[in-house]
Amino acid sequence: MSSARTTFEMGLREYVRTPVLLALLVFLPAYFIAVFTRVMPEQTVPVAVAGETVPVGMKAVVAALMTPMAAALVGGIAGLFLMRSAREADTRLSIVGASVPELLAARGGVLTVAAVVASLVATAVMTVTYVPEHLEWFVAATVLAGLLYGSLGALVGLVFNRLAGVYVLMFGPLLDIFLAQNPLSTETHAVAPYLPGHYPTELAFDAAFTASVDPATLLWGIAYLVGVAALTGLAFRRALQVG
Amino acid sequence: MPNIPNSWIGRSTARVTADGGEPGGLDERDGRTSAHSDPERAASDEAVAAAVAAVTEDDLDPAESGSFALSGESGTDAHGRGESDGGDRADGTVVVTSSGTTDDRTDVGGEDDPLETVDDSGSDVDERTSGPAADSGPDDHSGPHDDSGPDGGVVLRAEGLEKTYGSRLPFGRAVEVLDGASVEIRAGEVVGIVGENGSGKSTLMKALVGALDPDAGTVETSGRVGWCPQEELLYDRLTVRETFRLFGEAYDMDGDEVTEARDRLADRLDFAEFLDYRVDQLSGGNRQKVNLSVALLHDPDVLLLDEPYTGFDWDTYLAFWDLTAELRERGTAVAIISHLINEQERFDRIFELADGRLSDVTEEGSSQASDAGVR
Amino acid sequence: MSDAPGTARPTVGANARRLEVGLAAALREFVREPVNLALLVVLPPLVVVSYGSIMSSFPRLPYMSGSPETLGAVAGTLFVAGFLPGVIGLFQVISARNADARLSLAGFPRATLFGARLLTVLAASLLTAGVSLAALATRTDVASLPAAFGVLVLVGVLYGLVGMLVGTVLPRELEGSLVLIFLADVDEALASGIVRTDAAFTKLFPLHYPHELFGAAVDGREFATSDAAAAGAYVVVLGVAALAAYATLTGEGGLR
Repeated sequence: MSSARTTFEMGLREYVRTPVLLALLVFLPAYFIAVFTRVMPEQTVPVAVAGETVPVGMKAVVAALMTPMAAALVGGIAGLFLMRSAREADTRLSIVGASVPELLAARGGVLTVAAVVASLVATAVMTVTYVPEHLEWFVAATVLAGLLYGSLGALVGLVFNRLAGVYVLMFGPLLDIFLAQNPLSTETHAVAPYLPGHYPTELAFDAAFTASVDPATLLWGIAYLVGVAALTGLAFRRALQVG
Repeated sequence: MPNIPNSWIGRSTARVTADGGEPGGLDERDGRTSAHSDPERAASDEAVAAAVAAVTEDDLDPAESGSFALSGESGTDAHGRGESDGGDRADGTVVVTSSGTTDDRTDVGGEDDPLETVDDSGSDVDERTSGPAADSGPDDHSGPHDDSGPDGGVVLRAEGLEKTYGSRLPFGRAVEVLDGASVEIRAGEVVGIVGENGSGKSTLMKALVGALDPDAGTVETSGRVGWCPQEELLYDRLTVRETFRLFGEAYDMDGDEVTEARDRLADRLDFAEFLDYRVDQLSGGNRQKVNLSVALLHDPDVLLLDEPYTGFDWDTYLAFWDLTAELRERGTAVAIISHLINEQERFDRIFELADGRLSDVTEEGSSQASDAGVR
Repeated sequence: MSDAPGTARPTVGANARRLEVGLAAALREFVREPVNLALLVVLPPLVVVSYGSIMSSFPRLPYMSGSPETLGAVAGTLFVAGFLPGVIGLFQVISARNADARLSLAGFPRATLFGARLLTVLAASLLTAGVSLAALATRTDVASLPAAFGVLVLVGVLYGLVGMLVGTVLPRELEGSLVLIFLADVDEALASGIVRTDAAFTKLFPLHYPHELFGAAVDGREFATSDAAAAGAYVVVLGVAALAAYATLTGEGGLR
């Protein structure tokens, strides 16, 4: 797996050397969370979490909702463009002998780093307003959101083009997390449980507002992720062959 | 300065008037052909050259005052000397004086007369001409450049170019790429600039064409510059034909000029059959031909090429050098920047870019060539 | 020694011709990527319908100006009419950047190049506005279609300019898309009226006034002059900023 490790390192280095990107990775999630928590009024609303209904401040609700979304946006864009920019280079690598799983692992590794960084920043900003009950689970939920949308972004980019990918990421997470998974809605829309944002959001709310977290949510989320990642892998392999 | 046909030498003086107006191009007005130049510059060399080109043998013998034939022989390979005023005037009037004895043609008319002798004392009748007085003594070669070899003024001059790519992070490394690079390129020369990869060739090229502002130093050009970049900076989804139309617009050429130049280049470099293909549908070699042709479309005074041989097949390589020979005869300077220069005899001068500076290695050959055992 | 080529003052006629040629080239470049056109036609109805549908699960909260479903559909309409041209503007500027630099070195005035790209964005805005409004009209009664259309085109141009500005300053796809998406999502979420916002600074976001105007058009009310003026001012300010950035930064490298 050493070539995977090298590819991973090189991919990482390439992005670490762009100070603008690093600045954006920090600033944009911070801006995102800050604006929403500022804007929301102080009032308390009842929120259904893990079977109970708890009263939660609006600011906290929106923070818990928007933090995974910020990670999803960053992860999605990262996945979309990482895959596209890597593809040309990876074609050559694969001819020289790197295998598809190795290449995928390397790219996936860089994506994970991006998702983690975005999650940490967003969560840090969130804690200014509200500290989740179970911080580490909350971060896990956020990272999960980032990875899910990262894989989706990569998939759309590989199958269609980057323009389509950007559109999907522009409209998708907002529709999914901000609307469909919004706890303020009285009913759950029929498709909501099947959308990518479902498990991460549920886990995030559990972690933020309840005493105990059900690990099953995380496991389901990971299963979903594995499914999407598998599809992405197939698309990637096909893209390498078609070149 | 443009080439003056040999046949003029010792014959007479022709005054060619370059009027202000639309840049570039010939205009026939009142039976007189004159060339246009940019109203904000003096009569540029190409304007003079165009006007000179319009003058034929017959014109030197004015049977009728004020008439020029429209067709002229351009681009003879004779060399002569001339002067122009460097003044900053709307219609630069250029006095072209040939060396040798003047004939006894006298001024047959007033200011409108296209031909006018300049008397030996060197003062001009018309106050519109100024600048160095015409010396027409037989051995007086008072042109601005009297070195042997390809004649001509400097079309591109760079002095003291410096460029450092810094890192904004405090612990980053700054890369000093150019450190006082200077070069002069003269009309009709073929110059090679060789340097190892990483020596700063692309940076130098970009500074010369104006795509990059150096940290220090100046770049001056006296005419039009054609740039053939290493990466073909073209629009992928336009056809070749559309690409020429677009760049022709940029160069401020009208439709006919573009068509003529395009067809000539397409014929010369053999890509005429691809005119209606999209750029992204072309092979690498054909894209490179289009890239080169776009740089030549407006008939530049100096052509700068960055690693031009990429994707050239043998025939294209030969056609390229034929083209270069033609350009040279027309007085266009050609500068090629490459990491490898074969056939050094094709070049008038060769510079080596190393340690951020340029040094003339024409005589001894470039160091990397001798390392490689290539002449 | 003279200036570099391209510094001659062009006549009006020459400039108009250049704009025409530049626009034709920019349009061709865009249209010849078939996915681009497909997206412009397929996405708007998709967004309008899905946003309306998802919102139907929301209760009608007291601050909502209409039924949640309508609110969702309207929000989706504005979103897609604005941000499709926004992404187009972004990618137009980024993908053509190097070739544009070469073209401007060859003598094409930068302002004209910018104008050609902006006109392409305008064309995309007209198309998207039409398609998304049509999709909305099938779900909701729109009292004044011309006014609604006008607002949608305005939003398209507005975010098209934002896209061009972002693409000029951050000439890389990843960074540019990141910024545009974050800007867009925040703006849209706040302007949509789906969440209650009291804070005054939300009025600073570009979509705020167009949303008011659009609501008026849907309901058949008169435009509030202050809203219209504010929206217009945004377009002007953004236009100037985008042009200035484009003229100075194209060919100089932008931020890396």
